[in-house]
Amino acid sequence: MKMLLKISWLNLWRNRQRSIVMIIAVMAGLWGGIFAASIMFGLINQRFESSIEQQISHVQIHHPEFLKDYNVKYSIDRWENLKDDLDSDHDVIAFSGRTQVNGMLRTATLTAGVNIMGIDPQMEANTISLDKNIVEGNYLEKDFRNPVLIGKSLAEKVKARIGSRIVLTFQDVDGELAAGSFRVAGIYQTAATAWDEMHVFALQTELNELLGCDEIINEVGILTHDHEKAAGFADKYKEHYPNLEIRTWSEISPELAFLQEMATMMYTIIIIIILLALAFGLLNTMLMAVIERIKELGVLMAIGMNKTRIFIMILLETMILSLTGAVLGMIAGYFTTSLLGIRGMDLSVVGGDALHEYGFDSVIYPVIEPSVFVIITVLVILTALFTSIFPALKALRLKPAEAVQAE
Amino acid sequence: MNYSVQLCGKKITCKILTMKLILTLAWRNLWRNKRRTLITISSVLFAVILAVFFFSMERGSYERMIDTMVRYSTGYIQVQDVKYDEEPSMDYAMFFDEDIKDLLKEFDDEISYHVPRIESFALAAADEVTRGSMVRGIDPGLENKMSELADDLVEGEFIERGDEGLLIAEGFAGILNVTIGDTLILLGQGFQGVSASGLYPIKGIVELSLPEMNNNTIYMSLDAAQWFYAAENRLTSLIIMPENPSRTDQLAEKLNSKIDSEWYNVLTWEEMLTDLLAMMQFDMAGTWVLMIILYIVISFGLFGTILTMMIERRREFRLLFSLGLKRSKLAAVCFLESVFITFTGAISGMILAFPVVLYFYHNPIPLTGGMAETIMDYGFEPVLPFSLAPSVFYSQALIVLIISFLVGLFPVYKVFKFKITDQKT
Amino acid sequence: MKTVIKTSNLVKIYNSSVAPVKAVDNVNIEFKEGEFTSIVGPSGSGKTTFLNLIGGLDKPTDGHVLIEDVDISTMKEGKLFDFRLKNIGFVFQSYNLIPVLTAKENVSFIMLLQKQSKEKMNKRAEEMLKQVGLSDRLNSRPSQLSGGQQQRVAVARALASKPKFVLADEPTANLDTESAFNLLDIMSRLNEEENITLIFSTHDQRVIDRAKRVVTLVDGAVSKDEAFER
Repeated sequence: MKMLLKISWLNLWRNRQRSIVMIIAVMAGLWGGIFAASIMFGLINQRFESSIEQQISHVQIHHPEFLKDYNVKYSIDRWENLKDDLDSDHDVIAFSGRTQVNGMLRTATLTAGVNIMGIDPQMEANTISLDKNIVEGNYLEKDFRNPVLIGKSLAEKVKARIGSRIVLTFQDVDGELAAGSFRVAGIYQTAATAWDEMHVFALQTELNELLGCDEIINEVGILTHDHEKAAGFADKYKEHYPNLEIRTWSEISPELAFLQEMATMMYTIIIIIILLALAFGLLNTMLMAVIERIKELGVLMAIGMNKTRIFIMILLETMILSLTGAVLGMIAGYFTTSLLGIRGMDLSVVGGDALHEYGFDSVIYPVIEPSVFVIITVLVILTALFTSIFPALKALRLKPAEAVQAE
Repeated sequence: MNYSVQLCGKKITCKILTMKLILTLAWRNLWRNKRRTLITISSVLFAVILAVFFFSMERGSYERMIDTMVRYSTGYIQVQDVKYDEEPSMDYAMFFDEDIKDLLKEFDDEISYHVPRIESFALAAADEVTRGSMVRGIDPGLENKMSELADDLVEGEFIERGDEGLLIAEGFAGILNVTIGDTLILLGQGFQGVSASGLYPIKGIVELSLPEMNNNTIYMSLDAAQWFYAAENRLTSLIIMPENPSRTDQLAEKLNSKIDSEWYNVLTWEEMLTDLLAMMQFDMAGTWVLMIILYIVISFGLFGTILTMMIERRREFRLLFSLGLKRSKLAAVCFLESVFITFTGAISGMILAFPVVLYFYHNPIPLTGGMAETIMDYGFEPVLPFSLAPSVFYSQALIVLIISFLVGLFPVYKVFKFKITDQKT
Repeated sequence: MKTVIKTSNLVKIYNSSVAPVKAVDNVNIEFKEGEFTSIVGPSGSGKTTFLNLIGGLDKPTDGHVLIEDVDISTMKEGKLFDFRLKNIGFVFQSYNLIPVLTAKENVSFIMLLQKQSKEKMNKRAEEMLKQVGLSDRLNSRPSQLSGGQQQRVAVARALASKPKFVLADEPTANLDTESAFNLLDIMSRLNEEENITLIFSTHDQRVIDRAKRVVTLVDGAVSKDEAFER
């Protein structure tokens, strides 16, 4: 066996240029494939993280009626109990209780429909890192009376700036129309323009005053340690608070879970396609290698190398070619991905700002899972196996006597 | 013996004969090893078919999105107040006056019809619930012609010209908890800051496909809306639907040149949908990256084949050179071999791909599961549409051309470096 | 009779990495129009190198080759290609024909390169092939012809462009006796009838017996130069 291995290896280098071309081909193809897959994973990872960490959190709690029409009167009673439970729960990293009401934001000339969130700045900063997302102005410091935070895309839409006066109109607890004058204290930006356009943050105390009530909490956002354990966490609280609507991130945003699945499927397909393309070249290379050696193969068979050995020899040659290229490609892919994963790839120069529309950031950090390498190796071996069948059969069908006579 | 090389009577005929010879040699050389050539051609074919398939699929989705937007929402051309695009407020509502009407008449044969709209925000108050809403003042007949709104009616009656009643979107009706016959109070900000208020009965309920719209839209007759916003004879936008959509840009230019650009602005759908178009470009760029990787892999395979062909034919080259075939001509032959292989692959790929794409163009792939839900959320049919845009096809031809050129340079180099003696024959 | 080829002090040294090899050593020789010469000598005597030199396929290290008073030893490569095309015919031991062209196309190939008119080309091609007895195989590809037939097509091609002389490097080496004789008959006939200058490099006694002049090369130098009446 070792002998066969040695022979196969040496055989490849008889036509050095061609072997090198093939190896480079496999390397380039897989490198490209890994790179593409890593970008995809990076994007999805980011979307996932930013979505959870900056917007929806792991678990959200509402009054069951609230989600239907966002009427502020549907609040969470037993808020104090819930608060204490969450405070003492080690699985909770942070949580934030919000007063939420749907209303209109009006500037001098333009109007927009928004979700108005009355927040406790500290709690909110812990939960969705809102303070870190400020791009202009400050985080609801009381420079003005009634400060408000609006998203960058909303600011652009209604032509508001720091210090602009806006009017928020909404329905209070009694169903009457209430309005309040606010000033834009800060502008924030998350990865998703749509979310930024909809969410306006004001101080909970001031909002509650306008709503005509004491502390009223319509929504609780909870950040836990592990998104996979979110379901278990939610179940735990469902037992204690059967009257509340408790949802996990996958229920709030099913597309997120779906994205992960899609990504895996997509990258497998990409790798398969690349390998199919490589198979053509590999097939040609091996066929030529066999045909060029008809005489020699005849001699080998005549002196006693049995057919199994010949088959294995050809198989080995194919595998060595493809695996050498594959290993090189994976190494290159690993390094490129690691490097870019740390530095990040800024796509805004090539129109990457469009990504914000989808909810992605324009700077990508490619990421690669180790399972990718395993899958690639397996697929490469399979490809080599299938590709070597045809040339091997060709070699096996030779009759030694005729082959020796060949030119 | 006397050798006078006789120049042929017509130099052109000789050039053609030589060209023919070169082409013949190149083409026949490919078929010396049929299997190898076929495999190489197949690899190019494979890449081209895939590329056409994927690009067609990607473009198809965007084309459908754009098509839907253009046909039902933005229209092909819009006339607006010059400031409206930047600041879409009621204050910048255009004057629909005689000048505009004359302009429409002037280009009557190129314009199929026009759709006037006035839209803005207002607070809608029902018994218990008050909510912000988009109010659209429309000419029912013309609006229906464009978006077939009447087909979306699920309860009650459609409004007419000059109607005082409202059409309310189904989702919104649910939020406000109102039905046919109920009255809504509308409060808003009119033209130049005037307060707008009015009482309107609900005449009909329509179901809109986009959930964002379905949850907050109200339709009124143009007259009623203009009265409400104190914006007599004003529109926020005038949509123009051309007779021949493929001549949209030309029509827009003509209108632009005739219109008073101090007051008015003429926009085409491309200008209005720049964001969507930018997304499409970016998305397609992503697919291009993948395809380039694929093409690079194929090129290596091609290169390997050409390389082998060159090595095999050393003796033949020696023969040809000794006969007096110039290096440049032999180089041309080898170059053409590369071009022929790739082109045969590309063209057969396109020929094979075309009927498949054509089939899916007319019968888009139905989607199921999570994918379908997501698409329906955006208000589109859960299908995967395909595009027949020519650029999908000829962009592949271009890539293949570039590849064949680059790979073809190698044999040219080899031919010029070839030593006539000093080789193994 | 006029001199077709004249070499003066012709030297060719190969700089092999081991030690320089003098393949052609100071050869001074002339070939006249209409001669049928055989160049003989043991392997390694420099026959092939000598032929390459007078055929313009290789450049001498020293000395000159004059073809009808035109010095080709210093010609630039481009001009050499042209010169060979118009003036020299070649027949090799094997692999003489372009595999993808038919017999007729192989013959007219040369004339095409010389930019002759279509009718002239076709006529001459058919004529030459008739001369070598292959009128019935005009459209056959080399793979469909026997070794002897292939060589005959090669001869037809070599002569089609009316070259000043024809160089043949072991043309009969791969042929059986009958084909070899066949080929030699044709070449002798053409030599006599058309006065074509032939120079063969060969081991083959059958060829040597037909030649009217036999030049023997040993270690790159002329050791014998004999004329025969045949």
